[in-house]
Amino acid sequence: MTQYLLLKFISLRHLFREKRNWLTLIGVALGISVFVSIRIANLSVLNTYQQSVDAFAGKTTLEVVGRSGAMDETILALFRQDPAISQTSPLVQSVLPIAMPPSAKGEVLLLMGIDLLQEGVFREYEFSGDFEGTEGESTLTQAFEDLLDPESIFLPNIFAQRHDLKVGDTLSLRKEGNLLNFKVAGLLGGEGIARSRDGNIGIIDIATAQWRLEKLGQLDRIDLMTDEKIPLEKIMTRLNETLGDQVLIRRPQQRNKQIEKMLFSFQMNLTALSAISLFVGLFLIYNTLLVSVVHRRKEIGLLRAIGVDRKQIFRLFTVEGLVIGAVGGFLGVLIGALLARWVVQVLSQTVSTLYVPIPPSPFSLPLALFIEGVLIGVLVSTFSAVYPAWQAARLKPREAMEGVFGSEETGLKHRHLLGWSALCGLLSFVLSQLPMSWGFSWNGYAAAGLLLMAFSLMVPSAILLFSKGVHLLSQNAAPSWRLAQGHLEQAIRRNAPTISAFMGALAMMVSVVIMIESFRTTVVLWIDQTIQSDILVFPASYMVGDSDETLPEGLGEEMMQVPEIAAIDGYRSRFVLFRNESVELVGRDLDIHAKYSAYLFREGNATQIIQSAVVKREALISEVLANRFKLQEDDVIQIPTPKGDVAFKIGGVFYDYGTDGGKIVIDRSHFKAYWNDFKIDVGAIYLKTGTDVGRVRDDFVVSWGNKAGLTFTTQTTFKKEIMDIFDQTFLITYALEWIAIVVALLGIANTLFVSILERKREIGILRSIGASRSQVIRIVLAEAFYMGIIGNLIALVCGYFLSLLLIFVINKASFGWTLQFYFPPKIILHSFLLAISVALIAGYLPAKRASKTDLKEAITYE
Amino acid sequence: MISLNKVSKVYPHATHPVTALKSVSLEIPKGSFTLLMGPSGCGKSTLLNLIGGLDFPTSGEIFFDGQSTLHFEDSDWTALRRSEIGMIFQFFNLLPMLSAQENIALPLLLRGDATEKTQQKAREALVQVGLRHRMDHLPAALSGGEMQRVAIARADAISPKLLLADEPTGNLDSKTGQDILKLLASRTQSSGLTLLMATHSSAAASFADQIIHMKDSEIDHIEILK
Repeated sequence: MTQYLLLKFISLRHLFREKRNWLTLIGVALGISVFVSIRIANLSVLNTYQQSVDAFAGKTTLEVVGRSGAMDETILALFRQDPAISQTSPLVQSVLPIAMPPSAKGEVLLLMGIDLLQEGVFREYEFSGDFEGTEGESTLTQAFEDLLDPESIFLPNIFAQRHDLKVGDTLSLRKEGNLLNFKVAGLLGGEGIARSRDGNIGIIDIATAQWRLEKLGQLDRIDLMTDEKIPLEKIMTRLNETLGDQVLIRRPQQRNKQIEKMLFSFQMNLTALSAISLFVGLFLIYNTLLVSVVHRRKEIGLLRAIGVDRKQIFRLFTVEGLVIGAVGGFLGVLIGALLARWVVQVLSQTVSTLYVPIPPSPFSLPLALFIEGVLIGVLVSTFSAVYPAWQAARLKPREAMEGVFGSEETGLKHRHLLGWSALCGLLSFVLSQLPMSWGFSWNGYAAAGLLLMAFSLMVPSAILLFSKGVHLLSQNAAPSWRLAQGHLEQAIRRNAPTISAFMGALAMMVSVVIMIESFRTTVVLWIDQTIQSDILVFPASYMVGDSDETLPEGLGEEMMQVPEIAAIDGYRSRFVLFRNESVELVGRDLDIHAKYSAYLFREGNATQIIQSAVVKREALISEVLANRFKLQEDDVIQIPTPKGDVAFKIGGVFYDYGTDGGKIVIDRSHFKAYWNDFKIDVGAIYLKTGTDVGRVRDDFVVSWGNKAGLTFTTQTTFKKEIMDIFDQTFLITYALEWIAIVVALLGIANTLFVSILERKREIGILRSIGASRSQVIRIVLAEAFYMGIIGNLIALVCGYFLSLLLIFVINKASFGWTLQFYFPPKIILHSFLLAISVALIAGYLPAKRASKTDLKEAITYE
Repeated sequence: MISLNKVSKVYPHATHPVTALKSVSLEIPKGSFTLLMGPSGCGKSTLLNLIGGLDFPTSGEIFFDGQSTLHFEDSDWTALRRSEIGMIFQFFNLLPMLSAQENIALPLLLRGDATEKTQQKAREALVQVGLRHRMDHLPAALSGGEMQRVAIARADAISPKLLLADEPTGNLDSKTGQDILKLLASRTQSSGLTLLMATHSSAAASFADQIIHMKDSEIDHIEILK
């Protein structure tokens, strides 16, 4: 009952009457909104991706894929005969660019060849259309008969509506310069497969697919439904033991394991970055409550004098923190939901560009997430409130009523804090040195958190040191500098958490900027070293993502007739199952690449390594792959081919910054020998010295571009496009950091407002001895300025160390990349300008308020 | 020096406005030591605040050295407080983070005096009030009497024409309070300073030239002593 009365008559009145609590509330809400918006976006994208995967998987319990590519169809019979397998469904598929209708140009379509008689039990198909057939036949049978027509295709309703296609219309796909024309025979509705890939799927008969896609006698995948009474693992193990040299039998979920890992890392990084706003919010609440305790010490004394005990005082302030957290959390979720609409869009686009094409993710705010957001606010606030509440509880009534707030013991306490700071720093270092595990870098995130804590604990000592310095320097300066320095030092307890929060936000921004600049510098170097061709030619759909389109046959030979061309390096890639995981295998003309370009190898001479790879049948692997499978130079790997596993020695490990999970590069002659694959995905064209690249490129476009749907891009343009994607990837990151800065700004404003309140009398005295309003403003702004400087100086150092963690620990574990560290000198100036601007903006309103202090009220003591 | 012509001060309130001063008219001669006496709430502090420009009258007119302050802006009062009007209060006169010397130098620095000259003046002022040995001490290290002496030195440092003191001895023991009164009186005598002091202390009467007795926000009567 007492607690309820205290809440009603004391806490709530304080909370809602004091306007500066609103600043705290907004800060907490913003901090939580960032975290929530990222959670919503991550969940949304993940759900969309999962639904897409599940729609494909349907009721499949196991799937069969060829180790080296497509499988011989005769293997199907083996699975049909197996007693543990109840159903089989063979599939032939390819992703091809759409040539018609015009509205669909630039998109790709997954063409799926199915055996409808077998496929129907695996996935949901709801056909509708104008079928020919006798009365009484089911729609499924009617569909089946229509599907047998080699010109027929079934399209999802959502795709047809988007492109205004009806039954009977034509859909054209492009394959190696030729058009594959289909007639829309029917439409797919309902959920399931029709919803996958945002509807960019075409269903044809499997025999048609084999013929039209030139995959006669081959299958891309066989889906299986197994006997439920037999454990899946047992079936999988047995089948892999008997057939494992040709094919891999796996759960459908394992198909996308690599993508899911990278997606997870990407989302985890975003979540961690969004947590910085919570960190800043935590300090904001802590500071607000601590100041409140100091401010209300007489009230606490009175309460104790009338019978309220320590525990009740502790609960009083803890509950106040809780209320701020709950209300802030609620507001934060609402703001986060608004923010999420933009974040979901950007995130979907980024994931589609970098990892796997996914349809636009819809926005949704599940109740669980709503509750989670509010709970986070409550937890963070309650945690922040513990120390201030404890301080309040230990106040002696007499001291409190006299306005004494315990003994200062400033010097001793700061030494303790420095000790804790050193400990946190040491722990951070130890964690950062732990061996890396591929994927989630828990030690990296923990190290980053401890590092932030270490520098935060240094702030009180830094304030004292800075104050002494300013005192010395301001002897001959205007009095506002000296007065501001005095205020800063006088209120260390209040100012330190504010500066810590500001420092934290700024340090994260500094570290992220260093990381991005290092990344950018590395990528630019990588492109300059490894993409030295003058012009690149590839099918227009190549940049869309997972298109199977290749360059027209004979294009290379045709182009070599052009006198300006010195050489063309043909680049071909396919996915193989390396150690049961999907890995990109690249075949290219390595001798041309060695002559005209290079790879950035982590050791050894690039030209020698590449030439050796040609001569000695060696493979070159990317660093990401090496980390993923713990491979080194000179290791021997077995690459699955249609003619069996072939051993390749690893000739070199090169740095690569694609988001493909790692690649193996071999000479294209092996593609021809083992896969009978003469196709080329990308042609890297080297022109003779002195040739006008732009003119030649334009000529190519005229000759081949429009006709065959090819893209010719110069190295400069290609580099720019990659950097554009690069910049877009970090858009959200920058936004997150800015919001954290805004939260810190609110913290500074809050602290200064409180400072004005507490120094009302001082301000009155100042004005009474001749200080003008503008001088009072300058004093407050000078104090804000000092906060900005101190925060900035510490943030630069902290940010530097944080960036080392980001680059060499977290990124390395998450994505497998080695980045060249680059410290952009301009960050020193930029961070200084940012810190000062933010601090002065934060100080402006409090300064104005101080200048308007009612003098008679300020000096009244009766 | 100071004259008030039917000056009133009413603090607004939705239902019960408070009249702190009711049509007060008086003259404070130049160089005089005038006391304001009366019970708590009679308007002494309000009167001092109005004369010092810390508050503004609801009606009436205040003249400072013959000049009407009716249309004075805040900046005009600020200018006066920088060079013509010094103020001392009962509590918390000094800025806690500045040393005694710095507290005295502050008003001089605020009005733009050169730093070296300022420091020199501050040192001299401290010597004059007998606190040379407390130059670098913070207020927390000073006794109540010492703090008031520093406050007097600070007010004196700008060489004001008028010194307003609101209960300067209210927080001191009788002996210390007596010392402070002596110090204030000596400033008036030596430099021709006009001193207007609000006080409950009858001991101050022996130093004063006149006492303005106030009651219920009005002047009850003026007692000429010298």
